[in-house]
Amino acid sequence: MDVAVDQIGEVGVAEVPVDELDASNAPEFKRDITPVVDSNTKLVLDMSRLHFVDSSGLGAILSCLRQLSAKGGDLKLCCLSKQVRAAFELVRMHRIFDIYPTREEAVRAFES
Amino acid sequence: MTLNFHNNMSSHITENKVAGYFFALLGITAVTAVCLVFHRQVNEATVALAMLVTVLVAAILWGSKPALLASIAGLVCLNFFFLAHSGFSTAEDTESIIALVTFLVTSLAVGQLSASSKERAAEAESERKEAKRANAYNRSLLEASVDPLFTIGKDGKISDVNPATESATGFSMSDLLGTDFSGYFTNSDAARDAYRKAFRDGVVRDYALEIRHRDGHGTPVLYNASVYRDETGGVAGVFAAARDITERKRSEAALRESEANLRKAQGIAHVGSWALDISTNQFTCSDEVYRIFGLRKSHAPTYEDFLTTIHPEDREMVKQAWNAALRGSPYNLEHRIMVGEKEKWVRERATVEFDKENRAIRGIGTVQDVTERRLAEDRLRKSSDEIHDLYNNAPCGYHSIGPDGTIVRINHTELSWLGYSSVEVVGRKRYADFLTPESRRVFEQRFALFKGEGTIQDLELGLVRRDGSVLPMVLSATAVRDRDGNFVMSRSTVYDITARRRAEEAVRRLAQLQTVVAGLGEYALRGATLDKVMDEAVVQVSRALGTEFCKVLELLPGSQSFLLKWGTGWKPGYVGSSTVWVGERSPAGSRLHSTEPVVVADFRTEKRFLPSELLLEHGVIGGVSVAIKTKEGPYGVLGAHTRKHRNFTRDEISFLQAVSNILGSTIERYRSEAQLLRINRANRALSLCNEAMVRATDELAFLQRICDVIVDEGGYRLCWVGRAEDDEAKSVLPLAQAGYDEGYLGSLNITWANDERGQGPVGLGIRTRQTVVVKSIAIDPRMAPWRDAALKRGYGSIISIPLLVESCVFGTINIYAAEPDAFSDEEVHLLTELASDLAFGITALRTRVEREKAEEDVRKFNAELEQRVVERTAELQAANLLKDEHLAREQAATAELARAREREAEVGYKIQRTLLLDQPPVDVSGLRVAALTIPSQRIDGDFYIFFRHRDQCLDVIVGDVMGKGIPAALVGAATKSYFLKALSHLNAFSKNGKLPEPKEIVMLSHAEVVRQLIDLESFVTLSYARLDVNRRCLDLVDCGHTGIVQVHGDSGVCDVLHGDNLPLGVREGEIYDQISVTFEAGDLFFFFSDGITEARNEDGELYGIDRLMETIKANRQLDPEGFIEAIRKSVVVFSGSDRLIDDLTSVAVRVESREAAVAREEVEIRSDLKYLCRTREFVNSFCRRLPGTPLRQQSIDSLELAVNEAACNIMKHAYHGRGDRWIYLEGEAFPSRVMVRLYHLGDPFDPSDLAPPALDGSRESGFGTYIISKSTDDVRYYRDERGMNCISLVKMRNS
Repeated sequence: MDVAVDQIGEVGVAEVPVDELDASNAPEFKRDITPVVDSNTKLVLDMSRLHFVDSSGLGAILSCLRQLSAKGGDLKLCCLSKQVRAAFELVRMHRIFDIYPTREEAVRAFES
Repeated sequence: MTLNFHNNMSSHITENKVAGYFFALLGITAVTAVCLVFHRQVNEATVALAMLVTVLVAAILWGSKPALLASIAGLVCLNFFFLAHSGFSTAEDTESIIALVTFLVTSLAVGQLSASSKERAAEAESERKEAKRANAYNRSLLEASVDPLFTIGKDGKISDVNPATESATGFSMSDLLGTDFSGYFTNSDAARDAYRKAFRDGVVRDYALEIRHRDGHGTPVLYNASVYRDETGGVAGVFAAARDITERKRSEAALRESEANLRKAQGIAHVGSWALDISTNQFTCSDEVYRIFGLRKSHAPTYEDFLTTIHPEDREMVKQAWNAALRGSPYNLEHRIMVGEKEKWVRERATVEFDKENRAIRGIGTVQDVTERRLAEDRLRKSSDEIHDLYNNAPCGYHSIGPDGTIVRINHTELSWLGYSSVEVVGRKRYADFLTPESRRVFEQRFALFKGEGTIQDLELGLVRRDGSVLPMVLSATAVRDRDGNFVMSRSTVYDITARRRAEEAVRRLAQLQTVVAGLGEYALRGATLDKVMDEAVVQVSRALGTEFCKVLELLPGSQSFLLKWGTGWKPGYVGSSTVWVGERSPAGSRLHSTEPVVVADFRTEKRFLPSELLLEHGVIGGVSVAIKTKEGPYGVLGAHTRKHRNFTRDEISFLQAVSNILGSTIERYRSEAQLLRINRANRALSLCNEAMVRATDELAFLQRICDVIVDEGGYRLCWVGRAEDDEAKSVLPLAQAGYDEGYLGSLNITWANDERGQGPVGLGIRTRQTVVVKSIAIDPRMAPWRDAALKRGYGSIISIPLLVESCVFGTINIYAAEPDAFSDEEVHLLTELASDLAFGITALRTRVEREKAEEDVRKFNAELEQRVVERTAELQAANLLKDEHLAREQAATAELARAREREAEVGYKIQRTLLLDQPPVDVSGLRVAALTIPSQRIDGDFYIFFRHRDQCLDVIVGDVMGKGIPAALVGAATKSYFLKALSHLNAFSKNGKLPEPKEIVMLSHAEVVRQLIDLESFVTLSYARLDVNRRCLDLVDCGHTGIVQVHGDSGVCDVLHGDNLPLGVREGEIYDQISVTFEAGDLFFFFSDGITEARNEDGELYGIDRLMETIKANRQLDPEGFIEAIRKSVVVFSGSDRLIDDLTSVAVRVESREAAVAREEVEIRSDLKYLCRTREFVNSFCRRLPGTPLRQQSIDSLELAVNEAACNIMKHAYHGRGDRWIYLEGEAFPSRVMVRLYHLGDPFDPSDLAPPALDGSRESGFGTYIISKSTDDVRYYRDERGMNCISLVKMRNS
């Protein structure tokens, strides 16, 4: 899958390019997001398209966070649908991720 | 005048003439005489006067002729006697002559005048009398007339009447005279008019009037009148006669009636009469004629009119007949007429009248409608023809035989049977001449008696026909006798009974064939072996059909060819080995899928089928073949063949079909018996394997024992266990084998590598870890490398089951059956179970061997040590280091022993977990079940079994094996397998699907297990309970167990249910009783083992039943899981330790009020991750379409996520990522909850084995199970009664 990345200053804003992220496409996402993660240290994942995520999807997103954290970067999430947010909350991931309602707020959070 | 006189007189006085003439002569004579006497006194004048007087008298009295005579006589007398007496001749005297003449003239005149006057007077008198008479006559006529006559004057007054008038009017003449005439008529005006008319015209004729009688009644009259005139010719009045026409009218009426009667009579007789005026050609016809001819009465018909109604075909005949009649011939004929469309028959009779010149002037005739008679005659004629035809052409023979036995008449039918003509037979042949010698004897005897007795009934005879053939027939006869009772001839009927004979023969034949069928059926049922039944069948068929050959072909696997399996008549060496190709054009091949038999009368003329080589080699030219079918499909073909050309009757074909049906069902029966036998054997093998497992000490010996058992008890041809070697060639090493081998295993050279020789069932089984069944060695391509060797040794099919020991493939157990397709599903199931027992056996054995080896090592070291201590005490000091070393080794060995013990415990635990303790069923509607086993340090042999039946029935068996450790666990496992076996056995033989009673199951299991238990010096206590939710009834067979506790939901009262049966394995032939109790929703049943009641605290005090009851009562409101947990906690707290000596086995069952599903849906999904989204779609679509309160979106999202995770786990873990398996999703909604079940056939999945998830972000996976449990209200993982693993997820609708 093609992950489109907007570069806003230092911050890369990548959009999760699918509606549903589950065990069937999470490995692919993980593979295709890796170059983006490698080339950015400040990354915002725009999840406005996404309306379903399962444990594998969560794992893939968590993997991004861990890769970025490992190299001193950070990942912020934005535009989570209600259902996606509920999934994050279910496994307490909302505590681990910085989640913002909009892209701008997420980018701004890096700047501050 | 004289002449007139005479004429006149002659008519009146003819009779007096003689007297007159006499008087004239006599008178004259007298006068003469007197005068002569007195001639002196008288002169001649006086004499003349006297004579004149005489003449006068004669004239007056008698007329002119006597007077004339008297005159002449007087003249003569006067001349002779008185005048000069000279006589006449002397009349010279003139005076005398003058006197004489004067006298004569005078006398003539007097005579004539007096005669004339007298005549006139007479005439006048006569006229007067006549007038008087006429008047009286007229008057009397008037008086006598019966018609009223009357005269009317010019003034209209009645002037005269007759008595008839008086009687007609009722008035007397005196009353009538002078009155007005018109007053006596009912219509006075008309009377007056008639009167006036008479005056005007002088006459009136037949003027109809009615005289009125004074009493009021009328007399119809015809008034006739004419005027009468007075002397002057003026009209004086009217003379009227009223003719009384009462009678006439009455006669007219009578005539009319008589004519009507005639018409009616003609109508009834259908006879009409007519007259034809030939000169005018006009008919006068009676009504009936019009009716008969259908003519309109308004039109006077002519002869031509009649002619046109005559039927065209008869018209000429009628014309000719009429012309002949006109010439004087009688006219009497019948012919047809057409009245409209209708044809009628008429008989016509007529006479023709002729005038003097012999000209026909008039025809008078009758015509009669004879249609009905004609039709009746036609019918009669027709029926007579029919009788004649019936006699001659009836489908039976008729004949008559005279007293001497000669045929006097015979019908065509019988003649045609005989083949003779009537001329050759009638009067020439005796009937006996046509009979067979035997029939002739019988007939002659009977015929002699018949002449006296008069009847023959159904005498069966053989008639010899002209061509010599014999016709069977039956004769019946009655005698015809004359008035004296003498026999004249017979009336005989003869029926051809060829068809009957043939039918009787066919019936006999059929009965014969049926006897064979029945005999075969009975033979098959009597329990003969299949071979014997088949051998008998081919012999019987061949004998019954009279064919030289009979065969049963068996369809070989692959449906390519048949084997001549059984037969008779074939050359030696063919039966059992010869094969026949299955081709559409072979009679056998075409039969395979058809229900129709193939009948070939002669292959040489047959177009449809080609004979097989087998048939050709035996010179067969004809036969009949039918398919032998079984429920499983075609088995083969039954055929009867012959070298002769022959036809097969339908009965014979049906017979062959019946035999084939018997053979089909016999084969089915043998098959199912064989299958049952194999299952029983497999069961037995399983039991023995379990036993072997308990007793085994050595792995190879154990495997060998297993192989022996499988071959000896299971009845298989070969069994071997191969170990998958981890060498380079990936070879498979046979470890143990039993059965018929003949060097087979040595030649196998099997590998489990993925090459050609690794494609066999063994290699495949090892690689795939799946059971591999080769249904037919003969056709399975995977068997190519070994096929010939295998077939040569009589192997038909193979099953290879991988043995998984400690999650590794140890190898396979391979079982070879002699028959193709020998392994039924049930058998595969049993054998797989056997293999899994075997694998466990190996595991257990290894563990034990390890332990024993460790113990042995310890012992060895101890002994060694002691010896060394003894031997080397002196060296002790020096050997400190060595001792340390030894100590270290001993410690190591002890640790090894501990490890081995732990391992044994682990194995025991595993056995218990997997073999002894079923997962409680979670989806029995109306029951909620929870079970608990806390295994003790030493395995206890506690077990429980759940049998879930249809119709909300659940069997719960809780048992406890005496003894501990792996042996107890294995006995428990074996006991459990006996129960399974007993249940399946009883189920298989139950009628109408009725569940076997718990006591039956217990007794059958006990009968199987008791011997082994006694041998092993073990026994088993057990509670077998069946909860029937529908009946709200629990049946219990308690075999020395602890009993079960029933907690009544409404009252909280606890009952302990106990039976009084002995434990299993105590006494052979024990009878087990069953008790029943009812229950209600909310009740709880608690099953437990003595591990609970016999738990002790530190002071050695028992937990005890009372304490248990207290705990039960205190926790009775909890759900079963919570309840069991509460019990466990209570026991653990009491004993002060969670390391219990005994297992804490318990089962709690709560009876729930049932809730009906409101919606249900299911879907099948491939186990490929790319179909994961389908599970979410299913949940979404199911949840959104629920009836009743909708599920909240958040709940749907949660359920969707949970199902997604569960499916993902199944795909990834249960199916190990294989995408070609299936997951079955079932959604079910209840008023209070929504449930989604995911069924799969992969590895069972137990979330309790998993570590809790790391929610701190340190791990990227392991959330699935956690997510599932958090997203739903209830999750259960279990294996259902079909053997499918299930994850059941519940979301409450109000959450």
